[in-house]
Amino acid sequence: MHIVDWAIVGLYLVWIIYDGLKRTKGSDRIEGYFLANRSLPWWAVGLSVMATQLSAITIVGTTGQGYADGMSFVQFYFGLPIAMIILSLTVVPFFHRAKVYTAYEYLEKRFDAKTRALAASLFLVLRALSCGTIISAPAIILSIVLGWNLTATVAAIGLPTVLYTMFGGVQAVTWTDVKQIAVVIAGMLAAVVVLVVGISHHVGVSEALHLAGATGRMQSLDFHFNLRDTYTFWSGTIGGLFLMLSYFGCDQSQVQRYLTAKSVQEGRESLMVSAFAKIPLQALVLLTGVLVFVFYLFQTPPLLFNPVHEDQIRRSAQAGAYHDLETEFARNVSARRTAALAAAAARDRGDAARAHDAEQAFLAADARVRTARQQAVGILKQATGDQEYTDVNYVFPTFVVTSMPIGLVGLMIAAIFAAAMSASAGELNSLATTSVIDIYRRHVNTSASDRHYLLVSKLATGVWGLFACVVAVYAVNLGSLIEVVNKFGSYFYGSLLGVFVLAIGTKRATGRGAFWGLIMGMLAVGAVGFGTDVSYLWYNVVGVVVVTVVGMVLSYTDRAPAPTAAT
Amino acid sequence: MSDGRATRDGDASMTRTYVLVVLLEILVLLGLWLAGRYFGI
Repeated sequence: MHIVDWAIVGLYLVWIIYDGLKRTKGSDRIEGYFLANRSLPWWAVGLSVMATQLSAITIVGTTGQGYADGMSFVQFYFGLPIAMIILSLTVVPFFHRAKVYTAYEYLEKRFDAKTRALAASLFLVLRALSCGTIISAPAIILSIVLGWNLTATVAAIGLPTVLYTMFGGVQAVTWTDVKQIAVVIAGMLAAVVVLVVGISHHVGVSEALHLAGATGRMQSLDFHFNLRDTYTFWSGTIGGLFLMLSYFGCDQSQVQRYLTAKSVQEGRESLMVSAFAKIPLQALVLLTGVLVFVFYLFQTPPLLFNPVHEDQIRRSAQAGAYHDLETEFARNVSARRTAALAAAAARDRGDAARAHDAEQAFLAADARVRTARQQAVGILKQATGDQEYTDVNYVFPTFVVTSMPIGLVGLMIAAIFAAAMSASAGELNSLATTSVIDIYRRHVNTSASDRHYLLVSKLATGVWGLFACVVAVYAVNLGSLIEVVNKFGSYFYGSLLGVFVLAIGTKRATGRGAFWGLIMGMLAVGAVGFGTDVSYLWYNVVGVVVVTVVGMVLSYTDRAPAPTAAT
Repeated sequence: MSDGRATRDGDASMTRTYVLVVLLEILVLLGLWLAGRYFGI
């Protein structure tokens, strides 16, 4: 990496640490530290909500998906705008008027202490592990693509985040989120400009998109209904709706963002930022991946995008076979380039018959390129024993460091840092809040001074931060565990939403109904997850339905009247 | 009274925002579908 790029990354880190540390005003009491004294404007909270959700995995993973599969992943977000409207009408006013610090605190006001403790504990386990993943995923990729030391990369992302989150509290998190999402969007737009300029040396933008479209990458919508398919219009709209309701309505890392808004109205408006902008933003990120695919039609991409694995093959007994495959791959890429240019030229001339024939030739050439890559992956699996190999997450970082100009490489690396830091800062802040408010202040030390709780809160932020960094360093050896952790989240998200449906949606529900409903909901989702091949987006629907039905049946068998809803 | 009016004004403004969100989502979905049709052929 050029010294200018290093300087840009360094400047970004200094700027964010400085900006975060100066945001300590009003954080000398626990309400200021965790909720900014409920004083923040809707637009800052709204951008913070988006920044917390948009992690570095979104940038490298989603562009990789755009490169490999096209735009179809955008369907995952179709339920989000409707979820935001529902949450803005329901949980936002409930949480604000209940004057709670955490979503789980509301569950005790409405039900009982054990339901609160169970929900808070589930959140702590899931978020503690996912926070490590959020830091580790970009650190692993950057360390491999750029040859950086993994521990140093984790430290460069994690330690500044811990520092400003620990001392600045939620104000530091929110105001740095605002800057960080601006850096992310600037980086993505810069990448799009570089791609468009690079592609336009060979074909026009319209022809480029037609070439992507010929391979199916411009197809965003799939109306086919099948519970096993992960990304369809239906799974995204219905399953995604419940997932987004769970994530934005019951996950403290998001709830805490809009609890900082200065009024119910501003809390509602903050959610509308994501409602308006999330799908277009995700479409832009996916389109960037699609443009990387078109870009590599006219440049020779690496046969495998993970250089560490490639080196392992070169040192193995399969080195000769891999070398032969590289030669064949280069020949196939060259033939595909010629076919792509011919297809674009025929379309440009308006010659429909020739354009069709040329497009078929292009698709055949593309299939040969894909076959060569599949053979390379087969060799890699033999050489390394890694049967789960995928290099889709390395595509965009490889493009950034090999094809973007000096200066913009630094901006893009800073954007990946910004995405990882903003997502992990929100999580660290919410982990500390739940640990202190729902566990420590509720069960361990119930009558200490505000100053004592503030000190414990800062310590909790630091401890969770260091824990996340340690998980991030060791996660490199826990590949399949990361997947388990991610799947584990979808096992309880829908069930947690079911408890909040009981709490806010019904007056008859009781603590016993909510607690056992939550347990039964998670068991039901576990049975569906392990016993069927239904896509995980539908788990949330199963969880909500089982918790609500079981909770209501048990509540109606209770003689005691349900407690009055706290509003 | 003024608080009540502010709440009603806020509710009316939020209702307009919700309608806009739904309309924008329909437009974006339509745009994505049309892009798939146009560039996919």
